[in-house]
Amino acid sequence: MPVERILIEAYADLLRRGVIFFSGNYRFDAGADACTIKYGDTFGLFLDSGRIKTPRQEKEAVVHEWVHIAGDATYRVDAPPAIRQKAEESARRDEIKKLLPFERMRGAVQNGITQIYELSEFFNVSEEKVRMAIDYYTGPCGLTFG
Amino acid sequence: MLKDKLRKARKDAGLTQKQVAVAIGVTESAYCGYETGKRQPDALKIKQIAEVLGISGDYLLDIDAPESAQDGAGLTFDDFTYAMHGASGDLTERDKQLLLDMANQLAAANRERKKNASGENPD
Repeated sequence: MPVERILIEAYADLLRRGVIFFSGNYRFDAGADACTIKYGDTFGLFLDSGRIKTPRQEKEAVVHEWVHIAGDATYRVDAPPAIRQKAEESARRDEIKKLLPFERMRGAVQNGITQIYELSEFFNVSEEKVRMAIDYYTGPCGLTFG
Repeated sequence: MLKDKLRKARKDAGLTQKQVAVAIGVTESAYCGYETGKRQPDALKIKQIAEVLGISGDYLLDIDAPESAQDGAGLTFDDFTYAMHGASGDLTERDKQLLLDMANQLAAANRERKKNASGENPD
């Protein structure tokens, strides 16, 4: 399977920003498969090779961390939950816009790709991301796919 | 400057001046004075504001990390920030230690990169 354009774009931008990449079998108890660390002005992107097994998982993890880095949205280990949630919600919204742009999603739906599993395959993302995109576009954005 | 950092950090946290003022026990007007530079918060207030906004007091005060920390030796949780993908629960103590180890690894890699860059440009 060829590497997708969005992943190439993500890596290219991360490299331009001077991000340092790491890979290892980290196994966070919290279940994370990727993590960004910001130290001073430097970002490090840590990918869990024990959990990221497919190009799709890599794409979702890297794009998610990419939007955190591009938006400078990281938080302290002891940050209040509200701040953590705000940064994560913002990253999820930006991630959805990158992985499942509304116009492309609407085009797919109008062409008969309407089931969650079909959209998941079409965009090569997890069904969870498709549900997140539908919730985001039809909820806070007030958009419709029809 | 402190006032600019306060304003940016508060907006990043999605809080109003009134919310921060209430959280640290001062009037909205007093807190507003911190952000306009008309008043200076004392050390205790800076600590409280940093906690409410989820940032470090050192950042607000422009205090650089000590040389040893800049070299990546003995970092603490105050020296870095993080974000994650795919986490479904709170961090365990092991997770926190893992993050600290990663921060040390990043600091060491950054130091190495700077050393290599300076070696490439001897003049």
